Amino acid sequence: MPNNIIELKNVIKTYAQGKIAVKALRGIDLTIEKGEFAAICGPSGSGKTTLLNIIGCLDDATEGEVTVDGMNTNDLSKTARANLRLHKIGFVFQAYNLVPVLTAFENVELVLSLQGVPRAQRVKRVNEILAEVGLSELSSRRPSEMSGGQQQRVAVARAVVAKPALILADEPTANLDSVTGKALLEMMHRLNKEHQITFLFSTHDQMVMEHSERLIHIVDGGIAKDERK
Amino acid sequence: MLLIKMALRNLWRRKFRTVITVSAIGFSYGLLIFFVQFQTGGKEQMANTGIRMQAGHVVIQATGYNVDKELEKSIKNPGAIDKTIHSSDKKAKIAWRLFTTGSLRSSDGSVLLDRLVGAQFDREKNVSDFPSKMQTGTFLTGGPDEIVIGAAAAKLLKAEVGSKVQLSISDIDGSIVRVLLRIKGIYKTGGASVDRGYALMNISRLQELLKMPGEVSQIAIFTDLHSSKGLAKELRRRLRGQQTEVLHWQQALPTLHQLLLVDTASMYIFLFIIFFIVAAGILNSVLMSVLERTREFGVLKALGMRPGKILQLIMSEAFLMGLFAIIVGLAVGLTMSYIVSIYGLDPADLAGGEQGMEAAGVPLTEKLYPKITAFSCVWSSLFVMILTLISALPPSLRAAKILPVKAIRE
Repeated sequence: MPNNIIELKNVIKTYAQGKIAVKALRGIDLTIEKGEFAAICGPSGSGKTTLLNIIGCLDDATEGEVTVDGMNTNDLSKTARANLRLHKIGFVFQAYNLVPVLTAFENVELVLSLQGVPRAQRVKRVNEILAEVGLSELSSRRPSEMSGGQQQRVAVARAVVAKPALILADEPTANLDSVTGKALLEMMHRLNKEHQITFLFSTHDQMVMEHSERLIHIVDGGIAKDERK
Repeated sequence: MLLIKMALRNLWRRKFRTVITVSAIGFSYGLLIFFVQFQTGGKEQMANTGIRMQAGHVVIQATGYNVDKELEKSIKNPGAIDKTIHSSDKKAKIAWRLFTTGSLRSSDGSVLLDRLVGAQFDREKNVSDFPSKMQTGTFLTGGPDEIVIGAAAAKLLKAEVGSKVQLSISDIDGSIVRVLLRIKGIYKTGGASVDRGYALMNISRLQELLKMPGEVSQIAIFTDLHSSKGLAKELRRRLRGQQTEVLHWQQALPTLHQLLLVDTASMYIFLFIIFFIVAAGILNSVLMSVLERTREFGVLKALGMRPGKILQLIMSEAFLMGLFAIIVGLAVGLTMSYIVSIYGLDPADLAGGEQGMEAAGVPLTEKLYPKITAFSCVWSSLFVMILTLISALPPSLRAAKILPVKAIRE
């Protein structure tokens, strides 16, 4: 069993802007171990989200090698990437991105349903995880009936419920006030310790950086500093 | 199950658009069901009227008579053919007819007869519409000097029931025969040519006048619309080599048949318009929905939902929309058909006048009724559903192919 959940070797990402090729990532080498609570930080446009998207198999690297939980994602088909996301990776987005027509319970259940988990097991696990994030009382509410902080907790529960190896969180606190953001980070830290799930954030929020155990600073598409606390 | 729940809620999420789309498709489809059922019923009524007044479901004539209506082209042994018919279809009703042309003259006027029918009074009253259309007097009763004429002819002759009229015809040798007949009854079908140029008298008397004892121009067979083709085929096989031609009503009444085909073609044009409305409505609704939810599909894909599941989700929404439209359409269409099947629609009202319509020589004087069949509901519902799913496919494929990284950014 490899101990590294993420291995990036010389990852380059180039975008075409009209006739000009823009390098968003300039040869990233990075290793994240299982169970880490790490953040990629840097100013806007530094390449944080691009890097997170490539790790999450949402985007392709132009060059280089990306390995997630021992699987080289460069070689995977679209279906295999969808499977990898479904079973190994959880996502938390800045704008929560819950399915508006589903209740909190159903939003969390959706991932397990896609995995084909039987109904009885789904109900048990969703109830457990909603209790862990303190949302048992709100399980029948739709996203429009919840605050931003509550929605983001549902999004975290959705990411955690299938017990993935890795959770990628893109600016998870950006739309939250400081108190709610802090509570969310503490909750995610607790889930990281209890379930041994690796968390990797992309952020420029000071509070997220303070809570993270490792900070990977990106500037202009390259790693400028990698510090462990 | 979660997909169906999502699909239903997605439809409900855009209530106004869903209600407008479902109503537009449902009402169009309802009109289509009514139109198809009314037209099917009307066409069957027209065919049956034409068959009862001018031919039969199947007719047997001497070879070539259908093209060249000469007296010489007659059937000499109708009795033997009757037996063959009955051995093929025991329930079939048969009537012998002898046709010629001539003129009627009274002291006050005259009229040309396009068709003088020598009819078997006892058999004819069981198969023909004429006995039920008598305005005054009665239908033939078997008397040698009886004649039944139309209301328009009676007016031209200034004659009434009991009046004597002189019939002039040419016998088989070409000699002019004149005979005095008494008007037994006057019918009114509402068809101008039938009411003026048709007359009926007893066949045995006409055979005698034409010097054609025992001969007939036509043996008309009455069965039902749907089994008549099979009977015609069977009789054609059994009467091979007997100098006869066996014609299905569509061959015996080609003008009427052509008219009904044109009617069917107009129905297909109407169908095409309705189906275009359905396709455009569904395509518009589903495409709008997909474009509005690009980000949502991106998120679902990021969570690991495969393209096939996204396709399934949107197709489920289209399926449900089609299903609701079909339910609305069936309710609207069947209600309309049911109401019209009780009261009927008068062709005179449809024509915008008091006179009945006449189509291909067939008077349309009776009210028209729709024919409500499960088949017409099933095939049209299936067609609407298939069309719905086909129309929803391009936007569904578009959603299934969305790149999550781009979609989430929207």
